[in-house]
Amino acid sequence: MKRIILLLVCILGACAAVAQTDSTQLYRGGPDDNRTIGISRGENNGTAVFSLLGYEITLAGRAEAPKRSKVKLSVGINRGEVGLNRLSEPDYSRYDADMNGFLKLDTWRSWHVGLSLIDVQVALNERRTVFFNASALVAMDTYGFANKLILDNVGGKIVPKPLEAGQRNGQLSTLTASFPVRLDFMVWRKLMISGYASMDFIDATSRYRNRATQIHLPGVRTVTMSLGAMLTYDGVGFYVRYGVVPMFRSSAGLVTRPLSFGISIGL
Amino acid sequence: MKRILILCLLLCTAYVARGQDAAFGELFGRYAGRDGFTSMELGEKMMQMMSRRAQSDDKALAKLLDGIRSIRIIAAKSGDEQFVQELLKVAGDGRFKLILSQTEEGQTSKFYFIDGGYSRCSEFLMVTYGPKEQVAVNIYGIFDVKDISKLSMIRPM
Repeated sequence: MKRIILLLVCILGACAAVAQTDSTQLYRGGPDDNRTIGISRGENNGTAVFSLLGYEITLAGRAEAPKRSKVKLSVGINRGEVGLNRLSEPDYSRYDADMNGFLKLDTWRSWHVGLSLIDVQVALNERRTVFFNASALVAMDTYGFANKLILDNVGGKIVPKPLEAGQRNGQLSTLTASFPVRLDFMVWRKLMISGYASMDFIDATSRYRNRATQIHLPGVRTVTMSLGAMLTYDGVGFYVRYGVVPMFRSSAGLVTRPLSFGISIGL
Repeated sequence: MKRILILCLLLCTAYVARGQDAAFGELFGRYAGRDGFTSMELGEKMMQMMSRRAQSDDKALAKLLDGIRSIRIIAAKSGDEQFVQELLKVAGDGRFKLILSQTEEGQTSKFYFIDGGYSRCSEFLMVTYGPKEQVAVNIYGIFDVKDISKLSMIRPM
């Protein structure tokens, strides 16, 4: 019991002592015990010696990291996205009034899952706080409809088709290959703000869940463009993406744009 | 909406769990204020003050001190078996690598290190327990351990 006496007296003294050449005692084993905890300047420049109860631990700063290339290529899964899909308020002006709202989504059946497979990163400054990225991303999106319907293309126009008995969970599903170019700004430590524009190539199918029926949906644009932003810390954070080009062809009747938001994880 | 909040909460929890010195920090926080324990913490600001003082005649030392985020010391005034067990549990969680372990007259001293590499924080942990005392010293920051020697030993060349 007696041995444990903390000498908190030298907190300010520690400041001066390490800077000068003395050592500073932070802890002493006891009146009859010479073993202490203290800090002193090391024999070599750039080192500090911690005396820890009879032991001496010499600490040194980290050597500078070796020079890194400004260009970094990552092949393989390097980032994942999981989020929810929404659609901007559709324009139903080309449909009968009783068909209004047929595109209403069931939030929890409208998912986005994306994987970035190739990423080329170029540091744009010496401090490595600004980066340019070009990548290739594969994404699967589902838009689950709240009403009991699937979409069909009749005479070039997108129309709702009621589900038959035994069918459920109608949805529009898209498989997308995206090629985003992105600017990353490291604003504080590992906190990164990113903005990107992406060219997207889409293959869309209309389907319902409990049978393997899939209808290719020609009215969905196969080439679109989207804008997005990310806020991440150490690679983990949030993304939001908005389709600047309407999701359906102008001849298809519907005007709506996809919106996706969720979690982005650097792997 | 509720599910989105739960999802966000889970994400935040998972991220916070990655904190490196969280385990020792939690233990330190629990025992620091208790009767029978004495504790001391030098924070980042303190280390920065020390760094500024050293700046004029040893820039490398100043950089080392500036990189140290905290030094924490906690000691049990009398034998506290649970304290020692919890310390050893923190040290044995797999991330800490044992550098040195020595037992002398029933007093065991163990030194552990988590190497953070060039840019991440490293963590040094010393645990000593036995009839004389139970003390833990934790140093967290950007540094490397160059040498450990016992004062009674002949120091390596």
